[in-house]
Amino acid sequence: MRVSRNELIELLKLVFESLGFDQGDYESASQLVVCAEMWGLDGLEALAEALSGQGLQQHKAVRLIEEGQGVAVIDGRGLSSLLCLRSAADLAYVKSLSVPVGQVAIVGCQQRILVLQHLVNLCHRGIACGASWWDGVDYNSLHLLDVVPVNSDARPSYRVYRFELGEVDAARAEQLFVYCSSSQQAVSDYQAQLLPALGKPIKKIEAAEMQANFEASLVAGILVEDALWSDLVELAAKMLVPTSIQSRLGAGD
Amino acid sequence: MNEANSETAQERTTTGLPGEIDDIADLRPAETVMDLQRLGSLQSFRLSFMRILVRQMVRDRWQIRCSQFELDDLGYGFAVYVLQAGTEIYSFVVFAVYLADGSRNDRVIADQWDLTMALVQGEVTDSQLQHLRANVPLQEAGRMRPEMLVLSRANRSKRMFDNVVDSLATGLQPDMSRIKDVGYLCRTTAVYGSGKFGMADWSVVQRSCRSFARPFAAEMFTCFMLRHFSVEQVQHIASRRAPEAAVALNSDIRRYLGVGNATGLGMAPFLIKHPQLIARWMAVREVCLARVMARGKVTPEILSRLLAMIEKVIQHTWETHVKDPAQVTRNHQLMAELTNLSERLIGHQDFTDWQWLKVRLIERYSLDTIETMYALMIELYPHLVDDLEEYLGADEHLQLRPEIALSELKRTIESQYGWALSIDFRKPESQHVFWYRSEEKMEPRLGERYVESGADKELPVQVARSVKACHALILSDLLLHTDSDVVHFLLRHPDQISIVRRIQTMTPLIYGDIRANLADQDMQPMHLLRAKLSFFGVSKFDPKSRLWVRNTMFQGAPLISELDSGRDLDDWYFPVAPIG
Repeated sequence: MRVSRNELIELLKLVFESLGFDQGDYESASQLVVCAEMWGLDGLEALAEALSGQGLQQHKAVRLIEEGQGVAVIDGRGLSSLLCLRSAADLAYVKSLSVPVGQVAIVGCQQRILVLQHLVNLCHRGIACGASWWDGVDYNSLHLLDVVPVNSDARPSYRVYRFELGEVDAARAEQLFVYCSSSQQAVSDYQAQLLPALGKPIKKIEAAEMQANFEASLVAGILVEDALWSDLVELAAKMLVPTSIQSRLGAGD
Repeated sequence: MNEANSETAQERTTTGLPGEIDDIADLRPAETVMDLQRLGSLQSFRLSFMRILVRQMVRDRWQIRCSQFELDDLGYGFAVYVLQAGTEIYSFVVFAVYLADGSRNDRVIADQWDLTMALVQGEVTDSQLQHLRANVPLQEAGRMRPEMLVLSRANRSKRMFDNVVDSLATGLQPDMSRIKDVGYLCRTTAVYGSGKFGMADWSVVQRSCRSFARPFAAEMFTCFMLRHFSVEQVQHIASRRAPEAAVALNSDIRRYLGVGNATGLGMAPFLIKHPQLIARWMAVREVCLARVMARGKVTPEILSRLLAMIEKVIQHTWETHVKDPAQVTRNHQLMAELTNLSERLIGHQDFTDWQWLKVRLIERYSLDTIETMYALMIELYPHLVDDLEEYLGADEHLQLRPEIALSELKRTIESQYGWALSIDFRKPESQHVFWYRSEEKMEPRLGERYVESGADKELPVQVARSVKACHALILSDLLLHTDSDVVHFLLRHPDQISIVRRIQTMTPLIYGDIRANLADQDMQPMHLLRAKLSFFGVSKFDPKSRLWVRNTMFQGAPLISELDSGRDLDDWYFPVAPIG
């Protein structure tokens, strides 16, 4: 079935609230899923994975474990990006105010593709930003998300590169890097310095294609599998209060 | 509420209006404007959405024709109307079914209605009509499509509908005393837009439907069409019943008939959920008033028009029949005060600026009278205010400022949210009620916290409580982290992200948040409903309990046949019954 953006966001807020997320988290998490889906990055698939995993334990708090001028490291404690990125992107932004490129690494977080909305939010401050991470399964793919401001809009693009096993330090493979700068060139230079030499991407979604995905989802609605929709409706229903004679009085009679 | 209070508008920095088109020093302060009781006294005014829509329809000479009218002898079936608005085309589709008198229910939880309807982009095809027929009558239980802008439903007025049909069928015009008593044939009970149930996303409407790019314009137009259809339906039934004897409603009565509306608690969470939009609406209204105060010349002609308008408001209020004792008292007070004021104005026709009147209003008159007079003063100067029609929409995006020093955030809260900090939430009465969604169609409801279950699923409408809790946390956090910034505070206290984001977004806006504790025992949800309805442009506010209200829309507005007459038809505020 196809649903509107607004409809999906509102349903997901209830879903995440039913999972124990507090207000800031359920507002943010619903945007993360819908944003990734609309730009063509399979946000709903990441959501389904998160729902079936262990990364949605709201009571676990991420920790700032290392911090220097322009850089910081956060322990994501194995949580989903829906929860563990909370203030990471904002911290990267704050770091970027004192150095050419601000960077935050988040160790141990899942569904990293969902970082996109945080980058789009950063971009609305008029800065360029990006994120990179190694594939969490066999650590042989490098994912790059770039978001640049164009007029007042954010323009994301996405690439994936293949590397041989053993080329990547296992410690780095567990991390998600978020970086941003007021200079688009500084972000590009930073990527070149941070990452190994990149060959030809094995997957590439250009900014124009991502924009087209977004527009199509906005205009025609977002395609959601019936089974997932039913699951979401069932979860959301947990936030609704059972009716009673007394409660019916609480709306007008 | 004293308007001459200590807070000055200048403490905040912006109206949020593009380009800072006015000097904010002239505006009334937030403490006055965002007070809940005052919001509950607002009247519809020149820039209310219905007024703007009608001006737009007349100015752009919208053409509306009926393309299908398939009703049986009893008025059941469907009709399609096509709107040509410049180069844009839309269809209004309405389905009419039999509904037993005992089955009518104005609540959201109803599942049957006399009429269900939709506004669709483009001219509907047969296959679209088939889809609409299968889904629109189901309302929330149906699935809508992205080409649909609005979904709505309505019930007949038991007091009016059959009576008007009976009169027309016997060749008579309906009894005006009954018409005055009710004012409409059908009453809408819900109007959905903005992507609900699969319909077009608001951003798509804004971008690709120029005719409906203002807030609630498509929803208001749907109600306008419902008004038109309801008249055509009664005339159709009467003419089928008595083809020889039946007459059509005369145009004065048609114009006086509006469409009814029943509104419940759902509007209240909307106001809290859309703080930037509400702050914008208030800013536009206040800029209108400030311009009139600063630049509106008081001439004998203007004063004469004002006196005539006051007479009209008194007559309109006299014709507003309500049963709620508090509203009756308010209406009587408004009429008495306006009569008194009118006499004073006649005795002081030499005053030359509005400040003279403002001082006297604040000194002696109730909020209802003050806000009514401000609405009338704005009405007098279209050339000073009409350009602000374009600014009633807002870019709604709450933005965190993570780099700000935590101590600065603390100071901001103390200077801008003093009203929230002053509330003692330890008192049981301060937390007496909670807002929640019922499992019945997610209907928003109010519960008593110490009596009913469900408070664990409370809607997040308690801005004041959240602000106060956040402030307390900041105070304790600063003891350990003197030089902290906001982002580090949020890393330590991630549950504060939402309220900090709201505070930082709203504090630069001159009108900020609504100043009320929505959990308080004495809180009146009706004030919130009235505030929003005043921006819609409704009249005849008729509370049916403290939780829901009836009102009329488009009463006195031009008829479809008059839209392209080229005449000035913008005088339908505070409508009064036709003579005769």
